[in-house]
Amino acid sequence: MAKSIIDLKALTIELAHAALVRGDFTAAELAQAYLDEIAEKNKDINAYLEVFDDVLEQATKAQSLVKPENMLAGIPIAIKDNILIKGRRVGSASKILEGYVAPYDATAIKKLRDAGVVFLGRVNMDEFAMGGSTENSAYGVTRNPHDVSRVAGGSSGGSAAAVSMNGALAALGSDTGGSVRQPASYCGVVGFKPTYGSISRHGLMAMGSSLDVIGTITKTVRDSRILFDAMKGKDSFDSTSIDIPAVNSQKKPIIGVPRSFLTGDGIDPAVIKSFDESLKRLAGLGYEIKDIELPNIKYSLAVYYVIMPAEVSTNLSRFDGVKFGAKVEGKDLLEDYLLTRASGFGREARRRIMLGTYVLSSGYYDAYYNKANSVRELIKNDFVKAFELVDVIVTPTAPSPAFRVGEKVSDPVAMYLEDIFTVPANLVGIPALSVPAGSVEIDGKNLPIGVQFSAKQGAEDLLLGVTEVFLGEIK
Amino acid sequence: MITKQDIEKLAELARLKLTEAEAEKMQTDIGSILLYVDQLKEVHETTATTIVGSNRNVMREDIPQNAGGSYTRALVDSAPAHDGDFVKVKKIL
Repeated sequence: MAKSIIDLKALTIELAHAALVRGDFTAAELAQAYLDEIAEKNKDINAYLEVFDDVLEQATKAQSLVKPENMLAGIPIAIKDNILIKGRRVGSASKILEGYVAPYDATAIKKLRDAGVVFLGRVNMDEFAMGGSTENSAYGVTRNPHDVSRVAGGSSGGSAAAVSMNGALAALGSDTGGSVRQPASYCGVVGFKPTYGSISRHGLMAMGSSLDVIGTITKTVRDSRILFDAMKGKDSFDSTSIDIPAVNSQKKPIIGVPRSFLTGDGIDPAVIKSFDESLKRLAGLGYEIKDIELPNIKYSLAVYYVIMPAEVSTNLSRFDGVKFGAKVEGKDLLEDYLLTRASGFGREARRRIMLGTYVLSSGYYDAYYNKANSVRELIKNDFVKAFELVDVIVTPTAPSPAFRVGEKVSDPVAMYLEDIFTVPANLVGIPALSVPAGSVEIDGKNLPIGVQFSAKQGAEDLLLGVTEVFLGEIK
Repeated sequence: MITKQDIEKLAELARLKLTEAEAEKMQTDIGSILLYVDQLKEVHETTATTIVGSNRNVMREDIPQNAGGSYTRALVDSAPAHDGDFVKVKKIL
């Protein structure tokens, strides 16, 4: 009965909150509507790895928190499988964490729990957030709700697909090189990666510690803002976390476009067309648009594929069959390590561990790791200079719409190139988000295309404001 | 060019047992990724500041944040092999 009265497709956090406050439906009815939708759609999409068994209990408990000032009370959301919820299975979609149960809540989870959020379940991802298609999950690929022969993107593919198929009002993901924004672009939803450190990483499984940040997948920018406001802030458990000061500027932001970065031959013509239309829309909304130069941005992906695997090989060294998850017995401790890690990690995880071990090894450290850090500084300096001239930088989110399942699995470099526009924001630590900007029809299916907006560190308010205007959410 | 011996050495350092076929595929894949990242060699504009970088360590006092023993059970239970409050491992020496 709940399903007949609640139109999940049109629902946002804001609208659901208003309806809960009015009493149009209860938190339990809302949660049941999502459970029904997941039961119907997840078998084809594979967004959820697990739907929690206490969803209705959580919802009933949250009902008492439903008040006009509690925006998130009773709001059902999905959580990426690398964010810890106390007492729940969590595994970064890796066999090496088979059987692992989280001993504590991530700080972001604790804040959402206190706000009355209902956690629907844990959603699929590339193993340890490494990949752009969820094809690296040990539990099968997540398919794109717009065309099930195509990927949902990654690594937060389960998060984006869950929201896109109306299987959650919103989802948490993590973004190390575009893992929230790229799947959002492929699935036609909003993917927001905030400033590095603005949301605590405590309880987020580490991949690239100088790059990782928790992000949100939502249907509107206003919903992203609501979740961000609930999770942000300095946390004593994460020494890299920071407070984002409130900045109130009345000046109309200036938009920058790094033209020379957008002329590569790997960019799909439909993406270019959609991007040009977005610029026209911005101009029509009265924004001044300027061309900018970011001379070293072309090296971003090369820098990323040194620094990220270096951090991955370090962070993933803790998975050895001694402390958590699965274990394969060998004849001695060394063989326990070798066998556990060989069978527990998937192909991409092993590839990046090996690559990271290489760039950090004696004799290659200077040529690769130090060099990459040095070029990272140059890229940061380019952005600092650009943000003296403009307030927001616009690029496509990904060079193509969603690709087919299996299309890129055999060529790691082709897969990595999907991150070309998203990686710079992680290297520089700035906030960036992808919002739907149109679609292209391929084989009778409408495939979404996103556009990416970024701003300087801590300029979330301005960034979200511009995109709210761009999408017509506010005037 | 990364050699087969390099791959074997790296697998040993990374504590990964690779089959012959996996080692061969790894050699091709890592070779193509290194070829891609080699474009960093074009960049010569690296100064003392960029080498040292702008990030700094943030230190704090090492003071326990939780009551002693409050997570012991959950953490020990996470280990594949344990006995009482101890994590079990094979003899090293």
